Amino acid sequence: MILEELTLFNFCLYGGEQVINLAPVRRHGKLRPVVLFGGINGGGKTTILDAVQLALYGQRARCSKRNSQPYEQFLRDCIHRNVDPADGASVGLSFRYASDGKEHLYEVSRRWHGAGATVREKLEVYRDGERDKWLSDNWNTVVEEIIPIGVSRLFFFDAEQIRFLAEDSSSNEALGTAVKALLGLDLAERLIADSKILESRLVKESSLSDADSTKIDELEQLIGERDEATKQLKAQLATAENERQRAQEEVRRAKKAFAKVGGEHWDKREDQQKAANDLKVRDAELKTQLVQSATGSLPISLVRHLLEKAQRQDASESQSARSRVVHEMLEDRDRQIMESLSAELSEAHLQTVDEILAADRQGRLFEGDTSPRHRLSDRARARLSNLLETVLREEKESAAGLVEELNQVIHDMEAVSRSIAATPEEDAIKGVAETLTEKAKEAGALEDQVRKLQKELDRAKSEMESAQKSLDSMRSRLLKDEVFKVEESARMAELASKTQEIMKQFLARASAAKIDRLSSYVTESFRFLLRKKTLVESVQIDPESFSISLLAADGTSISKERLSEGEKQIFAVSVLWGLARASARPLPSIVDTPMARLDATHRNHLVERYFPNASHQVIILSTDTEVDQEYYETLSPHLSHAYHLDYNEKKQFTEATEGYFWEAEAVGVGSN
Amino acid sequence: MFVKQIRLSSQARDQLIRLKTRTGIQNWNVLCRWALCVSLKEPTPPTPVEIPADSNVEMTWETFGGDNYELYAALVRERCVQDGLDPDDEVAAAQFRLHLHRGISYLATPNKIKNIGDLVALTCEAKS
Repeated sequence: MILEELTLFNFCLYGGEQVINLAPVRRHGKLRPVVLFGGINGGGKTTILDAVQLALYGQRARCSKRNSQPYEQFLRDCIHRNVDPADGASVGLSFRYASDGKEHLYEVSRRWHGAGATVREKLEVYRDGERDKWLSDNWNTVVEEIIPIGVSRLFFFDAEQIRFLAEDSSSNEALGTAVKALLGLDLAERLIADSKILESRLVKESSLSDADSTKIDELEQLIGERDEATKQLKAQLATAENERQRAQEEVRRAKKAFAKVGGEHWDKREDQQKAANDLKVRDAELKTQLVQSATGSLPISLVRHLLEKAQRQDASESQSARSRVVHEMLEDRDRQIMESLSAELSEAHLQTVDEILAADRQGRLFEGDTSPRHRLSDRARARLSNLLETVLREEKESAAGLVEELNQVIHDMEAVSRSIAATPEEDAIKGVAETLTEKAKEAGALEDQVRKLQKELDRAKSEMESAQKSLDSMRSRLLKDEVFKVEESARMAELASKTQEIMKQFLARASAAKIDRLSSYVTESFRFLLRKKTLVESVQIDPESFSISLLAADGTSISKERLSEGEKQIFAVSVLWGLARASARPLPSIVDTPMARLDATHRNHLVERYFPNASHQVIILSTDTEVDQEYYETLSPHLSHAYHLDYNEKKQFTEATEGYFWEAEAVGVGSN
Repeated sequence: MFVKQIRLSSQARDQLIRLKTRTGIQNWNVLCRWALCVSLKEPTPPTPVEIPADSNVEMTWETFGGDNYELYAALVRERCVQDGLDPDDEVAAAQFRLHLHRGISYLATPNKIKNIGDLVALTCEAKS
């Protein structure tokens, strides 16, 4: 397929009729595939991409500025601003496409005008210059043969938006369809389906017993019912899944709101209140006990040293009192001794004895004679030694234990009362709490529903498959028994069943081989374009699920999340390039804003390696900083021609003029 | 005993009333014992000042000291000796009065004793 010409009439920024030549030229026998469009932001680059897609797919086109607008509204908005909507606008695209071994020139023209509230759209298709009514009426089907819309997404793309290929797994299905179509695998699948239809027709036409035909009807009806049920269940499941996600989101929000008004404290409020009460009781108990112990001898432990001194003093006092008593008794006795000796001994001897006795008495006298200070009673003395030996220590220890516990209790009470103070008033929280409960209930119910629907869907599917199986086996038995009785039908039936066998084998082998080839092409492209050569050893595509995984040199898988944004873009481009190379259909590429996120190395790689080799026709929509003067030089050997999209302030529309930014200026000076 | 009757100053009485609410101790004598011991523990001797006996709070020495009344007297005398005073009855009585009132003021210092725990904890500090 080669895009030839794009005609824009009053379309968006483009006023009046403008014809843009898209066909790449040959120079010196060499094809120059690149057609370059240069435009600043808002200059109308993406409009070119939109116009091509709108021309081909109409209502189904994914245009950049449509979003969720109704199609008619979108068309009306696409009419150039300074034009009467009644005059209308149009886009036209012509392209060459080979089918049935012959190349034809197709022209698709889509025009519309808005009169009053309604917008009328008219589609006309010309083949080789002649208007073809059948093509015009059936264009939506025909275009799917030429370039399916799912595939077009992979060839006509905004480079900013293809990163989905490197991101979520939901892209697998889209990719799978595109890959099957591109690699021609869908043909084999369709052939199998068609031959099955043929078989069933043959079986129906043959003379069947009533029982058999009833059985077939039953099975077919069952399959039909289950198929219908499956479709419905799928739709219900999708709705329920959406609902569930919404409900979960609401639960999250409700939780947030709940936390914000102090919901956690509210949940704990009863425990907290109880804890507060318990602590209060314990606090009172402890204080009573402490008052009790403060009433005892406890204060005296503050001045234990004085009490010890008093004890020593008291001991001295007692001893000194005792020694004074002894001294007096001895004096009495000595006086008696001296009296009885005075008659018998000489004066000298008496003198000596008296001295001996006096010395003896003196020696027995308590040296530290102490004047009495405390005069403690025996009871007080006993109490004193009791205090010093045990009581003070015991009272002090038990008091210390109580004080410690009291401090802990006071600390806990403060914490609890802070938490209670943070607890919201019932009025403030009631609504929020109820919402939360309600939402959680709703989410739970929806989850159950999703599970239930999933189960039903699985059951319907498996019932359908088993019915299909018994129908298939019944048919093949009937084919043998009944259909083969008629010669002509027998031949067809045999061929049909052989075809299925062969196609199934073909499909299995071809898929494996083609996916292998695709994987290696994608790997090659990725390693060719990526700056970090050692990051990825190979890219694997699963032939069943079409999920793409990246493998490092040691065989471990690399998560796609670990790629940078720029690397993701390079990866997506690699996948597309690999697909284009593995594809049986040579399709043109349109790349919008290709290099916005890339660093210099990756830009170099795209300009030097990708653009010249991407396809036989590569249309690049670029700003002046993406393909700049230097890259323009690099591209020029491959460049067919360039357009400059310039917004003309005076005329208030964009004109596409031949040339690129700086070249257009040079031409512009000459023409003014 | 060197003191028969104890009559507090009205300032001391007011301070004790505050202490009663803070500590939960309802008896004057218990608080007075703590006050005396707290002051005796202080290393510096009390400043000799005139303390009027102008309140209606009055108790006998035996009420003040309870089971330990003799020992409290002994403690005061020992403290007199420690401070280099002759511990005769007159000196001891005067010193007792000074210590008692200094102790009451000390306990009544704002934020010193906020609850019974703080009071009892004074003995824990004594340990270290």
